[in-house]
Amino acid sequence: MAADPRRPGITALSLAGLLAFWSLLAIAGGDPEVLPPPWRVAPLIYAEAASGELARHLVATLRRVAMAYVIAMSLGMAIGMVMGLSRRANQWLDPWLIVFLNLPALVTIVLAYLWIGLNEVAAVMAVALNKIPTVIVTIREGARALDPRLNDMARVFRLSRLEKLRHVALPQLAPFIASAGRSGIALIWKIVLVVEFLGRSDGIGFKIHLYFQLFDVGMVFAYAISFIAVMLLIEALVLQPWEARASRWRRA
Amino acid sequence: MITVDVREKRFGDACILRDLSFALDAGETLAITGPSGVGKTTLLRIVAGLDPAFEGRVARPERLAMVFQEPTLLPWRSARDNLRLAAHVDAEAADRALAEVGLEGKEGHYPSQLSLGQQRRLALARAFAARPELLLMDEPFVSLDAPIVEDMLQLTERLLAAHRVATIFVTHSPMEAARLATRTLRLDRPDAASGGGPSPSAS
Repeated sequence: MAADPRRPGITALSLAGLLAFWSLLAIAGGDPEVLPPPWRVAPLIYAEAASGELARHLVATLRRVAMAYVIAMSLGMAIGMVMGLSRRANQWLDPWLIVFLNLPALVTIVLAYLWIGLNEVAAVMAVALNKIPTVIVTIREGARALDPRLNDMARVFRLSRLEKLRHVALPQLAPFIASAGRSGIALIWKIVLVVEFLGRSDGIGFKIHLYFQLFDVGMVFAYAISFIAVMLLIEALVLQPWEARASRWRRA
Repeated sequence: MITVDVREKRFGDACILRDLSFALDAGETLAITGPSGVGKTTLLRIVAGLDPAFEGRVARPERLAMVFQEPTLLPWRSARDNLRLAAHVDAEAADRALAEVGLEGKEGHYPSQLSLGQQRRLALARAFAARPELLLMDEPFVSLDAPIVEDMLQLTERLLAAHRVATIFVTHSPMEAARLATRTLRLDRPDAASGGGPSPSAS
């Protein structure tokens, strides 16, 4: 991403516009019980942050996101590579992939809770299972696009397996991994909330469930907004710099 | 000593190569010439071990290096790292090899920052830096301007003289064959009337 000097300014203005739009809606609605304006949500966020509640639930959710993410990315990459490189493996596994791709997240979650129990393993597995098929699809595309000429070069010059992976295959796969990683984060944190909503006693999803039952829209907003902010920060501070670094050679 | 004995190579129904054998000693350079589509690159890939689907046998040494028709560099690694990784040499040796082909000062450049001529020189440096016992080159000077070809030819002559290596190279150009080769193998189109495949003629 070439740095556009105007970009941060535009982003800030655009976000301010969103806040203004929300405020207008809240004023027009006239019922803070249904749609609380930003100035009523902000103190709630502050109070939850000050009491330590927000941090506790954020950490619980982020831990699940991280675990499910690591499992989904590593399994999805391994299976995707195999399916992209071997036609036979692809013929066998493709029908499974299609089934899992079309399995609704809710079904996976409910089955995981029923079969494994209402515990952390079930929660993380359910989320990972939802994400693995889409990682496979993306990485398989990447593995199919690997340049056979570079592969020949690596064979003639007798690069070791590890060298081939690190210096020949992974740089070609990097854009696919980044794409799977980005859409992965976005999908996973949304599903984690559902998993928590349905069967955990901590985490952002649990809190949203709680305030849903109390019909406290303000607190639902407070937790949702805090979490979205954290996820966007992670995206901006971790994923985007990594992507920029991995594609540095393209812009050289 | 490298021995190549290809009895038959087919792509589907088409027989590309038939009854072809030759041997090569260290220090010898064999040019393979012939019209397009006659199987020169296929033969080179068989010798390199990149195409195992043929009838016959090839005895080749452990250490190979190849200069491909296209430079075939890793776009995401610098010139120095391209050399280091493929030739398995340290940074110092890589820089020396780069200097040998006139690429001093370009060590940190990515391939996309080099001209095609420079990329080809890098591919040449990579091949020689690997200290191969058998060097294979597939039209290494194709699509270069005449003065750059002359440059590359001189460079290759110098490198071949300095590194005693058995070399097989594919070329369209009789001039290149005459300049670099100690022997020439001409492949011809399969002649349907005589029922023969490509007939090798050594000179």
